[in-house]
Amino acid sequence: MPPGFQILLRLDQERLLSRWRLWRRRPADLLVALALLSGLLFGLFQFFSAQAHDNHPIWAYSAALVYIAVRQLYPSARSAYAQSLLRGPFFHLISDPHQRRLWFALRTAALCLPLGLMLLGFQTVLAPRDLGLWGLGAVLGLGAGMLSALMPPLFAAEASAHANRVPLAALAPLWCRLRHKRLWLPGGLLIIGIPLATHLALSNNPEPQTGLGLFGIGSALLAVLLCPVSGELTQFMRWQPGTMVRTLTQTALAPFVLWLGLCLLSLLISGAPLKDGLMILLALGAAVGVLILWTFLTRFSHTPATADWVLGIDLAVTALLAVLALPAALLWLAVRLILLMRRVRRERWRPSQP
Amino acid sequence: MAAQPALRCEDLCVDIAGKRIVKSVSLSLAPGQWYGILGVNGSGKTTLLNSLCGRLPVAQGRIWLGDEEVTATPQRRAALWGYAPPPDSLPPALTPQVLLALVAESRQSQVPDDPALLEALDYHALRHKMIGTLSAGQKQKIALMCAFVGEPRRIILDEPFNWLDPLAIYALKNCLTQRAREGALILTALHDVSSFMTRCDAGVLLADGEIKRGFSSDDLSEGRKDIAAFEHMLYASLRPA
Repeated sequence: MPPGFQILLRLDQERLLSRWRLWRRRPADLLVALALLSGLLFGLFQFFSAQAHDNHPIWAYSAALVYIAVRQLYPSARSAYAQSLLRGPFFHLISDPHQRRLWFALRTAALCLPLGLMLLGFQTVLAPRDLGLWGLGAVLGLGAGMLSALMPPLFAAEASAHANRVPLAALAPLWCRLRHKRLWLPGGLLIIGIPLATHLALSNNPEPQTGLGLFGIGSALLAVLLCPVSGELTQFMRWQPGTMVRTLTQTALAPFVLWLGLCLLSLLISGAPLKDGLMILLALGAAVGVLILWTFLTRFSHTPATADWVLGIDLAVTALLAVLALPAALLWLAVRLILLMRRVRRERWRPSQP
Repeated sequence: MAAQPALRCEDLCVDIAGKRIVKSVSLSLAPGQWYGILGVNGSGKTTLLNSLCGRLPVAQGRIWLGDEEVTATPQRRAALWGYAPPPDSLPPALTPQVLLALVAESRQSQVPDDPALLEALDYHALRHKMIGTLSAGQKQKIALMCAFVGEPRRIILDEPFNWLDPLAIYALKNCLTQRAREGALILTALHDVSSFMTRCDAGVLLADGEIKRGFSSDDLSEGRKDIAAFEHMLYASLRPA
């Protein structure tokens, strides 16, 4: 290994160690991260298991995942990592472009190793006969990911629009919000808890209503957590150059889409009836969407003075939902749980005869 | 026989995104001096310095460091200069001590141990803190420390006094003067006219990527006799025509 790479390797090791020391001081964050990771692994395994059960080629899914991971991890010239190396004190180590590409490729391969091993494990357990194809797919995914990361962007950004040059800059307000520590614990618990609780309820009860109810309530709570339009952020965005549609996208629609994506994922992982689950999501999505638009257009619109009566109606709608919807949902859940417990007790005491 | 220039460039042009930023700059700088580059924002100071130390490719012209032509070898240019990187490019998750040890290792040298420099840049107080938690001025001090790793004979500093407190500025000026007296070439881009007038041994005024006016050590010595008139002349020269 060239001596420059050893220094870069040590630099990355020091970065990791430093992050680990920081995390060690915050065990709650570490627990949430581990819980999120295990939830993700569980979901992925469920998905692969279902696909293997239907005789679908799961090695192709592995190759696609490896491609996506490599595409995201290989540092583009604009990435923070590449920028810190190109502008920072270690520039002379990678000033040669060939050396730089080789180092980036080695680093990406090393970072993708845990994912590769996990996918290999899934393949070995679920469909060992396709291991050769899996290896081919993984290598092709790795190569294609690096090649596409090296390709120049299709559309050159305008030189003046600096923000547009940063990948996913439009989602920056969403990332800022998700980084907020108060959201980590409840958000992480909900993301793991919704599919798990739905799956357990469905597997222990022949009628799907309890599972679907848990899914609906969990999705509603996740919406409460993710979707409110942030007053401060909207006020700030009003002073930034951009249209009202852009402000709405960044402050409201992006969190809404994230919520919808997470709920759909939960639905798929939990194995709940798709049609009923989608109906619940449609109803919830319509309600949440209307509330978001209502809040945005009334309280944070670009018109300078909002009439008092508009704010009053807004408050009344929110209060009505809070007063009626949540207790009703809790009552419904309590009734379902009582019924479920009674059924379990009855069947245990008087098991049905064949 | 005159000393060999520590840096020589002829007809140097640098482009960024297809636009010519530095236009036909020629310099011949002897070792043992503090050379200042003065100019308004967008005049091409940083681009010129970045191309000299290998961070940007040369579009046209030639560069020599000592008797070695380094126009086509940016990695060699980068290795031969002590360079203070932009403070925001420092890895936030490391401590200054770890960072400087790695920089020293990459340059196969030692972390600077000059007590005056360490005191000027407050190194002992900062070395165990995370870079990400430091203020802008403290990060600037650590970035400046990087330039002195390995006792380089050529040092490039881009606006080194930004964000520093008055005590650090004064101590750093003394350190730079001392290094120049010991034979190093200190090349700095400056916005601070008073430092240019009172501390630099020579310099140029850059406007729109071109050298608008050069100042020899005699010019600067002459100017220091009537500081007010010299300052007035410099500000008048800085204004666009």
